[in-house]
Formats: sequence, structure tokens, C-alpha cells
Amino acid sequence: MNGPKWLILFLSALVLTFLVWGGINILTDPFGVFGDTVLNWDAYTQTLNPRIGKTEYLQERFDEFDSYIIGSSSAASYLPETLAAYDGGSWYNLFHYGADIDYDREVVRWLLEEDEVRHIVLVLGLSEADTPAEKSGLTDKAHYTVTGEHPLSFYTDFLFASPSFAAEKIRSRRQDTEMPQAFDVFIPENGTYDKRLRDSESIGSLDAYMAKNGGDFVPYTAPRELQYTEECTSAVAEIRQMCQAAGAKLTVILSPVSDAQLQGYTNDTLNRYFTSLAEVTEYWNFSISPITADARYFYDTTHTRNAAADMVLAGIFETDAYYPDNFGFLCGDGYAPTAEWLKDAASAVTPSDYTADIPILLYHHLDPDTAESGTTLHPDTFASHIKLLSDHGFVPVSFGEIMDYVEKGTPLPEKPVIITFDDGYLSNYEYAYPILAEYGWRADIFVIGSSFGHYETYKDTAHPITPHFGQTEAAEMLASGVISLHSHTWDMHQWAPYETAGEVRETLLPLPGEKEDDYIRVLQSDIAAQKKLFADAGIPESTVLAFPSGKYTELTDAVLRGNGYKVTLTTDPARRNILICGLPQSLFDLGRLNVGKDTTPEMLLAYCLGE
Amino acid sequence: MEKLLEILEDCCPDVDFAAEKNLIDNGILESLDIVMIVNELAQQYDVRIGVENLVPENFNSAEAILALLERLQGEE
Amino acid sequence: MSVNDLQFLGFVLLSVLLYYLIPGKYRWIVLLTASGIFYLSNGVTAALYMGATVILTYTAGRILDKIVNIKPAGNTPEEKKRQKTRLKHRKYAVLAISLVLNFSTLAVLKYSGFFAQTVNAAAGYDLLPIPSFLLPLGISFYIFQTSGYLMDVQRGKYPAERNFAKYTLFVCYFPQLVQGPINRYDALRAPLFDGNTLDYTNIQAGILRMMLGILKKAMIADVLAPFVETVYAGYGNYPGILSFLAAALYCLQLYCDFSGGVDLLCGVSRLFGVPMAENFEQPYFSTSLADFWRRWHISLGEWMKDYLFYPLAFSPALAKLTKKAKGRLPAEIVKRITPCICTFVVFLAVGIWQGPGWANIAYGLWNGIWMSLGLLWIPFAAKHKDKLPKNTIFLTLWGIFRTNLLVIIGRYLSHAHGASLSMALGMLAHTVVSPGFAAVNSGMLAELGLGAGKILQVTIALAVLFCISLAKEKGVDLRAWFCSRRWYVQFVLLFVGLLLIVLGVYGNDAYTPIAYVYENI
Repeated sequence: MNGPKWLILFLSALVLTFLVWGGINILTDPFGVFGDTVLNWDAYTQTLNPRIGKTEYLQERFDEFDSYIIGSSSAASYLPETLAAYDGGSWYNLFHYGADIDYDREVVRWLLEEDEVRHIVLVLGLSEADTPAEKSGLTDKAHYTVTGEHPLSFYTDFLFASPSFAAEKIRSRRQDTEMPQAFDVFIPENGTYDKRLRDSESIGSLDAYMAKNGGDFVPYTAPRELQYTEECTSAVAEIRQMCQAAGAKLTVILSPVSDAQLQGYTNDTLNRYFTSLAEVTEYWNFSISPITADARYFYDTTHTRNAAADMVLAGIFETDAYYPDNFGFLCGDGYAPTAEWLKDAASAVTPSDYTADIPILLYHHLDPDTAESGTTLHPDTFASHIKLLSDHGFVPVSFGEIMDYVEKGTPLPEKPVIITFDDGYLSNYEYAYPILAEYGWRADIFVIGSSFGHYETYKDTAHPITPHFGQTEAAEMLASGVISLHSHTWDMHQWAPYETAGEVRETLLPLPGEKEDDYIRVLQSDIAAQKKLFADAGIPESTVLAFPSGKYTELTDAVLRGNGYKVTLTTDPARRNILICGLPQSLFDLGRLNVGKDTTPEMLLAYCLGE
Repeated sequence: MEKLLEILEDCCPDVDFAAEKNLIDNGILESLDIVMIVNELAQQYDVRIGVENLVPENFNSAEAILALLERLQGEE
Repeated sequence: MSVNDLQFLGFVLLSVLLYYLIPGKYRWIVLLTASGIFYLSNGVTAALYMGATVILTYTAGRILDKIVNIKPAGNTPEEKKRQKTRLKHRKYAVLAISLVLNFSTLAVLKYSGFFAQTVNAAAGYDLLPIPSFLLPLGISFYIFQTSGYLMDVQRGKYPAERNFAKYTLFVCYFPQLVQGPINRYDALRAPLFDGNTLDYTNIQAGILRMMLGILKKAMIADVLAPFVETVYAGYGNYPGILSFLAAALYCLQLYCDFSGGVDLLCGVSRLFGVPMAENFEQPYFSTSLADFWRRWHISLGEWMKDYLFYPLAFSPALAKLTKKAKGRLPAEIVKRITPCICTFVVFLAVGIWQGPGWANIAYGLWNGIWMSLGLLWIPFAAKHKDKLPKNTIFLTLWGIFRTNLLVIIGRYLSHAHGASLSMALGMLAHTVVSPGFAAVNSGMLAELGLGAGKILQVTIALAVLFCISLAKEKGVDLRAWFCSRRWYVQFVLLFVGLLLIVLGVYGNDAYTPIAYVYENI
């Protein structure tokens, strides 16, 4: 075949190629611009390109929201639910990757045109005034309704996008699980990151935190310039004018900055930014604050924890949730406190003002009739321990008190201690309870739901076991106020020799080779069973859980947290329990000293004194 | 002509210079052969063969080479 | 605008349409405009450098032309001869000055950094500041092309181009700019300026060649590149045999990258009906190193031959040397002194052309030594002809094996992206001293970017390429073969080819095409 005919043949092959190419991109729709009708996966499209993913998501749901959080990834930590609780309204977080104040301005313009907006929170960092982020292709591209680009050129870009995007989406779909992975880190319903796993990390001493995460805190090297200050402030000015014209409230927050990032800038550079911002808008300056010096309030050099952002909002709305003194200053009318002054004010707050070290002791079974062995102690031994601690000035506290300390900053006694019992043996009621009552002390017992009230046999079998107390004893102890009851799981602490089922769960660890989603289901039904038991037995709901044998994974914490648990306990005596105000993660995976027959009074005291 | 053929065959024993009419265009003579031939001829005939003479027409056959030599000798 | 994005293809399509839509007389102006836009889109500075070269060589060409055309006048033969000599000297002076000026751009932009480094290393302290320039696109190609043009004009091969705009087009014609070939004015003149009529054979040949070029690059070169780069960059971390593998694969990568790029651009040029010089002729089928260099980067080899090798070979100095050697050395050796020396110099030049650095100079020497040895071997072989095995398939295969081994070892020295001599020698030693055959496993290859899928892909692509090359080597007209297939067979093949291009070019892991290796030489 030759001549024009061949050309037509070639051109039709070319057209077919483009049709197939475009067809694949429409069907898989990695960016969600063609409706994503087949896979319908907003978490993925928002992760790949949040600007476009969120624009597409919101376009159909403007009536569901009236208030918006705007900014780059430093705005990611500001939660719609926190703002809704403090300020009312229904919020959506529109943050995107890469500091880009010009994009923020366009988004605000778009929002005000498309929706009746009540309140906008604009979150700024130092990055907005630093070098503008480089944009790299389709993943940083903005939606045409926001930029005003011609729709034809916009859709052409995505129609003929690299097929690897499509392939990647299909591959990800196959690996998708209940928990977020690198490819689906967004919660499309509110626009924030899905931090169920990220925020289940337990946080304790600063040394331990830096040993684990120090690599993420690469210090900025001085002197960096904030050379984009002028463009940034003029964009903010425009945002303010637009909001005023549209009658929408605007709150501008200069988000907390980590020490590692702050090091990159001189005071003069910072002051220029602070002042020029104050000339165009009223704003809250949280950039240099008492938390600046403490890396535990940050994920890395440039990202504030969700918990720290919650503190910022608590500070602005003056709620009873914890926030430190000298935290956040309202600037405006050309006036802003200088960086020197802010640093001075921040240094007035020291770690001892917002951290507490708490020892937790773990007991099991008490028995006056046999010789002490393992963790089984004579009641007298237990009594002597209580006397020893009492004599040294220790004061028993409850989990409620340490939660209040972390969440609201409510002070703790100078030498607090927590006494815990695992498994829920009847001996706890028979011996420990009277001793504690006699000393005016208190303790917390972690019961295994499936053994609750089993005085003679193991669950439904005929195997005899150490007696566990039941509803009658529980009611009496709870009424006295001496004892609180918590979960040691419903049935995830099984005793293998007595189990008939093939799969035995001795701890909360996933079984070997168990799929993530299967594990989550099992765990959730166990949690539900335990909650039901507590409700049926009239035991107050508890948000504290001790891991059977002290074993757990990050996923365990994540699922428990998702089910409302706030405190979890291990059996690791080496783990110092440093409680940090404002950081709920400091209540996770707390260590305990497992007291047994080999534990001498000296060892006990040394542990409690933190020696 | 005899003398020329002798010189040529001495340089490239494998080539049938008497019969071949497209020495260059058919790629029988390579640049290295040409250099050897030209140097040899320049000495034997005492002429200066310049780069500008190195066009296929001048080297495609023994006759052409002879013609080139005669032309150059005339110019001297 | 980069050659390997959709934008470029759109640009080509537009230019081709425009080219055939306007009257033949003005068609070359479309090419000039397109070339101008293409080059300007790659940076104004680069365009300024090129402009300087165009003005310089255009002017020098005109002056040389004038001198060439002056008939020596004089009343006596002696006077005439004197006049002739004078003119000759003037011609050489103009040529020398213009060549020095022309090459100085290249020397300064490309080699001053290396020069300063070498001087500093010799001095032991930072005597000279180390300059660094952004190399204009394809600078060495157009400098070589214009220099060849000047020498041709000086030799009276053809008259200089009088039309400045046309001359500019000859220099900046965009398909030749990225990585050659180095075209000749006399070959390009007619197709470039005459306004070709629309011939569907050209369109067909152009399209097919473009597809072949893109596929070579996307399916082979760019797939091998990460592995090659990683091993070259940290050869010590892997068993020595991987260094050898990397050098061997680099040979394939470079061939597919370079010849693929040239195929693409020759195809583009063919769309306008302009055939460009061929650059490759199945180089890895060569039976000797000399054969290899006749098949690899042909336009550079031809350039070196015409403008370096011959002038050197016919220089009076070498003639004198040969004369002196006569009688002192065997006649067979004496005859080969000049070719040996010239070969050596040419390959030194080829090495330097590759880029600055001792590794490239060593690369030139490596080739020069083997080529010279090969020359000296010929009389010996002739003498013992009877004792050597007759020409058989086995001998041919042995020749190919031997040649490729030499080429691969050469590639230790000449990795285009900043290889240093010590690194190259270290890598070579590593291969020999600790090959570590046992330590290689498929997991290691996968980690280096050559997983099972990639290996399969490259193997299939190489097998297809091998068949194509073999057919070409046997003189089969592949285009004719292809076009004589049933229409649906052609359609399916075209569709599969285009789909592979989409997947290969736009579907690699990085989402970005890899730049051509020789783009900035």
C-alpha cells in the first residue's frame, strides 16, 4: 500500500492509539477529573493531586460546607472537627502540597464565587514567604475552574497523561487495605490526612523521640531569606479584601515553627515578615512559641502535629483544652511582636511546666496459702509495697487524672503512682481491695472479658482455673471508689492448652500471615464484645486498655484509637512514662513494672523514683 | 601504465587494478590504501597530490589515476 | 522544546503541513523559520553562539571563494607561478584564521574547564579559576559541519553559498542540530533549498523511521540507562562481572540512544524530503575495529577522514619522515608509517570530541593503538596467508566477537557522563580481579532496575532489532517488505508500534523522558 492511502492507514492507527490511550485514562481516571466512575476512589485522587482531587470533590458538595481551611501542608494538621466544635459550622480542609500562596488566593477567589462562605481559616508558615515551591507536572496542576485555564487544554493534559498513572492506580487498588498507605493518605470527607497510623505512635521522653525521629528534623541552615515576603503579603491582602467584600470571616494563623526550621532565619528576616503581614491583615502569630523548642510537637522540620494544631485552635478560641502560656499573639494594624521578644517569652516555659513522669506498677494474683512464685504474691507483700510507697510520699492517681493532665493541663500530685492488676482475679477483690481501702489508696484492674465471673473453669471448658471475680464483686469495688475497671481485651488473651479452635490468640498481635483487614475486623469485634460486657455488667465505660502480655503493633494502637481508647499499657519497665500536656500520644504504650516474687522493695522504690 | 599497475599491486596485492573500474565507489579501496598509494605515487612520479585531488573520480580506476598523474605532472 | 515530547511532534507536523502548502520557491523559508523557532526555544544564548558561527563561516566562505576564483595573472610563467603561490598562501591564511576562530568557541565552552583543572593539578594550587559554561545544543556538530564547509570551499569542491539566509538554514536546519549527523553542504544544498514536491514515499519512509527511532530509544536505551548509570557510578558495590555487563549494555544503550535519536530526526527530515547523511550501519556486526569505525557514527568518521586524516597524510612533514625511514626499516613498515600516525591522531581527535577529560583521551588512544596494530598486521597476514584459516562463518563470528570485546573495553573509558580515567581503570581492574560470578543473582539485577519484566522487554526488543539489522545487513528493503503486507497487518503493526511508543516514552517510572546521551556533545 502506498501514497495517500497509506497515510490514511497510518493516521487511523494513530487515532486508534490516542483513543485507547485516552480511554484508559478516562476509565482509570487517576486524577479524578473524568468522574472516576469505575474505581470511585477519592482518597487516591486527592493523594495524587490534592488541588484537583479536592476541587472535584467539593464542586458537587458546596451545600455541605460553609467554612474552609486553606493553606499548604502546614495546614494539614488543622482539623475540621476541632473547628466545628469550637466555632460551629461545617468545615472542609482544602490544603495542598507545596507552599503556594498564589494558589491559596485563587482557591479563596473560587470559593467565594462558588459558595456562600461563613469563615475561612488561612494557615501560613514561613515557607509561604520563602522560595516558591517548584511545580512538577500533573501532580501539582490546579483545576481549571480555579485557574481559569481553558477546559480543553486542561482535559487534554489528563486525557493523554502518562499511562503509568493509570497502571499505578490499578496496582494500588490491588494493594489497598483499610488503613491508609502512601497512595491513599487522605480522608476525602474532610480533606485532611488520614493519620490513624501516623498518630498512633507513642511519644515519651525527648531523647527516645529524637533517637527515633531525629532524622526527620534536618535543620535549615542560616541565613535563608524570606524573599517571597512581598508577594506573600500582597496575596494575603487580596484574600482579606475578597473575604471582606463577600462578608466572610477570615482568620489568619501563622502556624508553629519547629526549632530546626527556625534556625534558618535571622530575627531581622522574621521581623520583616511579621511586620509586613501585620500591615495587611490581623493574624495570630504562633510561629515562635513555647513548643518551638520541643520537637515532640512536630512530625518533622516543617510539619506541626495534629495535636499541636489543636492547641493552636484551643488558644485562639480560649477553650479549656490545654495550651501553654505565652502561646500565640494577635497581631495587626502594622504591629507585631518581634522575634526576639517572642523567643524570650517562649523561653519562660520549660519542659517541667508541661511534662510529668509517672511510674505504673503491675500486679496479678495474690495468694496467702501457697509460696510466692512468678507474679503470684502473698497479700502481705502487696501490703508492704503500699506502705513503702505511702511512706515515701507517693500519691496514687487514676487514669482519668493523667488524661486530664495531658488534655487540659490539670496539675498532678508531685509524686504520682498508678497501681494496676491484670486479668481480674478474685484474689484482687479478696485481698488487694481491703488493703487499698485500709491505706486510702486506689488501683485499676484490667479484666479479661471472657473470664469475667468465671470462678472455677476456663471459659466454656471443664478446665479448672484461678478464680476470676464477677459482677457482684465488681459492683462493690466500683461503688467504693477504690477500684476502677478497664479492658484486658474480651478474648485475646487465650490460654492455648485449653483452646479447641485452630487459631489461638494469646495476645493482640496479628496471627502470622493474617491480612490487615481481617485483623482489624477481629480486633473490632473483640472491642465491641468487651464494651457490651461493661455495659451489661454496669461497669462505667473505660478508654484504657492493657495489652495482654504487653504485646501490640502500631496497627493495634491505631484500631484502638479509632475505637476511642486513649490509654494503652505494656509491660515494659524500661519505658519511662513521660506525660506531655497537649500530646495524647504520650498516653500510648505506657510502660509498667511487672511486680513478682523477685521484685525487692529496693527495686520497687528505684523504679518509682525513676532511678 | 605498467609501472603504475606494479606500484598499485605492490600496495594492495588483493585488488585487481587492471579490471576494476569503481575502486572507490564500490568501497574496494579504503582510506588507508589510498594514503599508501598516494604516498607511493607521489614519490615515484615526483608530484604533489593534494587533498583537493582526493575525489572518487580520480581514483576509481587505474586509468583515472594515470590521468590524474599526467595532469599533475603537466601542471608542475 | 525537547525532541522527545509531544510538543515537538506537533511542531514537526505543523512545519510539514506548512512546507507543502506554500509554493516550492519559498519552502526553504519554512525550514529556516522552523529551525529558528526550534533553536530559540532552547535558549537565546545558544542561538547567539550559533549566530556568531554562522556569520563567521559565511564571511570566511565568501572570502575563500573569491580567492579560489582569482585566475593567477602574470606576464611570465614565473610571475604566474609566484602569483599562484601568493594566492595559495592567502587562502591558507584565511582558512587557518577562520578555523581557529570557529573552533575556539568549542574549545572555550567545552574544554576550558578541563584545561584549568589540569593546569591547577599540575601547579598544585588553584592557579586558574575553573570556568563552566552551559553548552549550546549540538555545538560540536555545527562547528564541525561549518568547518568542513570552509575546507571544501577552500579546496574548490564547490562555490560558497551566496545567500546568507540559505547558508543560515544549512547550519541551523533543526533535524541535524540535536545530535548530528554532520551533513555536507553539497549533499544538502539541493534538497534543502530547491523546494521538494510532496512525495508520499518520503512521508511513509519518514514516519516509519521516526517510529523505529523512538522505539529504539524508549524500549531499549531508556530501560537500560538506570542500570548502566548505577553500576558505573558505584561499580565497587557490585561484583566485577556486573561492571562488564554494564559496559556491554552501555554499548547497546548508546547505540539505541544515539542511532535511535538519529533515526527519529532523519525521519523528520525525510518528511520534508531532505535526506540526511547516514550515521550507522549495523556497527555491532563489524569484523574488525576498522570496520566498526566505518559503521559507527559514520558522518563523524567521514569528517575526520576528509578533513583531518587526508590533510595530515599528505602533509610534507610526514612525507619527509617516510623518506627518512626508507632503507632503515622494512619496506612494508615504512609504507604504513603515515597511515599509522594519521590513524592515531584521528582517534585522539575522536576521543577529545567525546568530551574533555583524560578518560576520553585514553579512549582515543585505545582505539588508535588497536587500529595501528591492525595496519601493521596486514602485511604479516598476507605473508602467512596460507597458514591462516580460510574465510569461514566461524572466522567471521570470531572477528565479530573480538571486535565487540575491544569496543566494550573501550566503553569502560568513554562513558559519556563524566567518566574519569582512574574510575575507568578501577572498574576495569575490578572486573578482572573480583568478577564474583557466584554473587550475582536476579534479585541484585532487579534492585538495579533490571527486573524480570524489564529483561524480557529488552530481550524481545533486541531480538526484533537484531532481525531488522540482519535484514539491513543483507540488503533487504524493509520498508518495501512492510508496505507489501496486507493493509490490516500493517495496521496492527503500526498500532502496536504506536502503543509501545506511548507506553515506552510516556510510561516510564519517572514520568519524564530521558535526555539523549549525545545531546550536549
